[in-house]
Amino acid sequence: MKFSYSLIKKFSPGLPAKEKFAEDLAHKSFEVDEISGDMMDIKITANRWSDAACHRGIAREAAAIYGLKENLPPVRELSKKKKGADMAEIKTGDCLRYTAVMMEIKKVGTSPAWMKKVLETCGQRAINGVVDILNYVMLETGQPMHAFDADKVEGKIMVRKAKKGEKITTIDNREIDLSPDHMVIADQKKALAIAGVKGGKEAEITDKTKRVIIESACFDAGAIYRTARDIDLRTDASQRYGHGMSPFTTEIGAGRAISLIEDICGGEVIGETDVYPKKQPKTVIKFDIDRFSKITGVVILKDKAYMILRRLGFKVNGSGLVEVPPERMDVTIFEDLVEEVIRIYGLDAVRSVPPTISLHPAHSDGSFAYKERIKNAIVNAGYDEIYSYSFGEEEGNGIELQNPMNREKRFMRASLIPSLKKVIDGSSKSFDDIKIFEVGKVFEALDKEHWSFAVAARSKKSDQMFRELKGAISEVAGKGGIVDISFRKDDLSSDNRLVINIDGKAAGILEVADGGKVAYVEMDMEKMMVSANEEFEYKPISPYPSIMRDISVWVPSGVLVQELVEAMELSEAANLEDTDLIDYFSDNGRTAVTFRVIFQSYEKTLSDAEVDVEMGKINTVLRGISGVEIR
Amino acid sequence: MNIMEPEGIKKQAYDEIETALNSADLEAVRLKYLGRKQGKITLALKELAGMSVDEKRKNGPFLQQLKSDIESAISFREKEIGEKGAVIDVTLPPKKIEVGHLGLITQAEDEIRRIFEGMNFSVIDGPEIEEEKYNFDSLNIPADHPAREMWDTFWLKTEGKKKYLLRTHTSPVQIRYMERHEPPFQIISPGRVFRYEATDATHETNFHQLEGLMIGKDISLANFKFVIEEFFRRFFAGKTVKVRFRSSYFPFVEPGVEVDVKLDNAKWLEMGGAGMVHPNVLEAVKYDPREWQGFAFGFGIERLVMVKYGVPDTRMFMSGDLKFIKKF
Repeated sequence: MKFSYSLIKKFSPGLPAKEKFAEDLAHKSFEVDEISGDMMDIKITANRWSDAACHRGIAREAAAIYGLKENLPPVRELSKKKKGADMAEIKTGDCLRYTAVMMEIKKVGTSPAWMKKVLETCGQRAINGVVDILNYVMLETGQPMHAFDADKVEGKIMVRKAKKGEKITTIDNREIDLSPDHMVIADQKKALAIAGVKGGKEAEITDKTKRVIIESACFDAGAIYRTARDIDLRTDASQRYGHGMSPFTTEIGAGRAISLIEDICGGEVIGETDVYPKKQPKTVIKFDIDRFSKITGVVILKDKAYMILRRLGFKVNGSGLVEVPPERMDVTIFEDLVEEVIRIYGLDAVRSVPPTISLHPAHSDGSFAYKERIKNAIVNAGYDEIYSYSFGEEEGNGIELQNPMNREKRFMRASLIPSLKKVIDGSSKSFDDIKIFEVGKVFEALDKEHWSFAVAARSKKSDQMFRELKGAISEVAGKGGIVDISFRKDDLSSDNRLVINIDGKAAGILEVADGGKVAYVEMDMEKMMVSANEEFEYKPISPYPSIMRDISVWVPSGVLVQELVEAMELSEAANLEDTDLIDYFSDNGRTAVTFRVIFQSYEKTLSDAEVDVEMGKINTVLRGISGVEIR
Repeated sequence: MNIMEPEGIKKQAYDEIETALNSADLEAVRLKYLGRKQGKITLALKELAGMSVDEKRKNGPFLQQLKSDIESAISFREKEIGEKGAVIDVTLPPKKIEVGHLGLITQAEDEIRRIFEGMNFSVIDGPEIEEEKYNFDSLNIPADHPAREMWDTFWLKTEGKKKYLLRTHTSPVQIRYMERHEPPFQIISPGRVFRYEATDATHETNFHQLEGLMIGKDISLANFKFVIEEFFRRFFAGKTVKVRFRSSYFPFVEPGVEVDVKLDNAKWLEMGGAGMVHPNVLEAVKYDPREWQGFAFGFGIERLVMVKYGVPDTRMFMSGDLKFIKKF
């Protein structure tokens, strides 16, 4: 929000130079985004619009920071006489206060140079005397103001809900459709303005205007916020009301506007109405200096705290009861006072103090340590970690964003594989061999997501990358505490796909693409974790030597290695420890497969003769598979 | 060759083998004794064929032994010559070893966890698709108030009444944790968050945050300063670290501060927000704010990594650029 430094300084004489002021403000109140000439762009936090989004408010901050004496222009009180007391009425609870002042003016005229300068610094255009004064009053006091040409208003002003189908044309000629969710300022015939948002064309001030009705009002924050969003019309006024204004500021705005119109436009008040059905209650909070220290860890004198609060406009009595200034809508509880005192006193006073705690053992969620374990294992196998977006164009489980950045990023991912694919496609020009992985959340339903672990390998030279990947995954599973992992081609899956089982249950898939040059694995990391957490028994290493035998067979096309391995495992050959595929090549429609079969006893040294018997069983089962020949 | 003088032959052969200076000499020796046509031993073995069974039995094994002794002597000498003969250029460049790389975010997250676990913090996970209640309402961020616009939000399509969104910060984990646990405790929660905003060098739609929460009977802002200084000192090890607070506003803390860090003599850097947990937040999880108090903080992990490693653009983390990934 743009401010005029010289106007702040006029209200807080003795203010240091802009740069120094900006630095101190950034420490104690608000960040300053930009300084340019007289302009300071101050970032008013969302909680402080009711008091600080105006020059008076910032001047008060400055006075509190530097201990300056404010020099604010006096505010003319609303007359007690209540001339024309029935000029306006409120028909909805969303209007908290409505002040209407009718003034006769000599001329609309133009605003004085000093005022134009302030408007310009704050990014506003000069229009005419009356409008400029009202805009200036908003910059000075924070109160949005509006004026109607009194001679175009027919009968009493009403603040009411819009009627179904009611329309209004704004002063910038936009026709807006309204509904009973919105609030209007109307006369007896028509809507004059969208309350708290924008004035209408009907009773607009022109050069010919002789009598004006000045409006200074307060509306419910949520109501104005919703309206502005609904009709997609954000104005200075709607922003201010949307953050929440104090009904107290209404009279400050009205008072200042009256004085300035009297001075500049030769105006004279001919009627005043102030409808204020429910007075804003006073907020009084007990300040407890011990509790202040308990929260901040900073010890200060009680009187010092009171002094800071007083400088900020709070009234403090001897027993520590603090009355909050009405425009400080953000201060409602003791902790808010703590913030007021510590920020002005200086947050640098907070020293580091080690906490004293009773020793409760940490109980971290297991996913973090397990992620680290799996990631380290796959990195050791030579894979690089990627991070990618959680949303993409694949429909996944149909979880869709209402407001995606673009169509390519509209679904929450159900698999990490598309992200890996994208990286492989994007990197294959620069790299012959790509080995990557990602660990990330995948989404099953709005309230169901799990950690997924996906790996991809691609090589320009090899068309057996799935074997590479099977090896890597087996290794990672081992390091990840998984004892029983197997890759299974089930009848349902396609030729290029395997199911990965952990403890006999499906926990992932392996996919082969691009003629074997690329392979992907994706596993449910949470299923891996469950398996890793189950106890497993230590299997001793046999002290006896193992015996290896190689067996080569010809197999016809259509018979898979998986079938041969299963047959061997089911052959009932005793002491069969492992079967390793050591050679595999195709020739004339059949394939030569060589296994190294390892026998191992945990009780004795096996003799050749004993192993021969078991090999015989293996030969028999292999020969039993149709078309298989022993080479 | 007189096969009755094997020891003499063996000695002669050994002498010749030992004095051979290069592989050509050695090959000549090999041919002399073991050559297929003229080799002395080869010929002797051939002679054996014409001898009587008795003689065969007597000399056969003996000659075989001699043959294998000479073979192994030659191969031993071969190795000696090889080692002495070749000049090894140890200035050759290193061979490229292909290893994998952890992402920088992972490296940072692992380090962050270790630092906080060292201070007895538990590390807690939370969902990335979040309910509006946990992301906003329970955190004292009212509906229909501009304060909510501090977080540009991705909303999810839903038919039900409950509104879901992509969490805009890790703070909902505070609420979820407090709902299920009694104080005192201290936790951190690193994780992915989302913002609906245009990307540039310092903004991404997907990024990572580090949430922290400590609740006790008298946990103060001064305690927070200690914990966070300790964290920064370890995370930016080797640098002198200064921490300062500036007044700020986050609806779920009161007082709220911005945390700045100065490394060695560099400029002050904004690192994240923090403050004392707002009583409304404590009440939302049914804690008595007169009994319990504490601090919460939230930092951007990418920001920490960018400062630590001098990464200039936050979009690099999500780029999938292997050249970048392989650097660290």
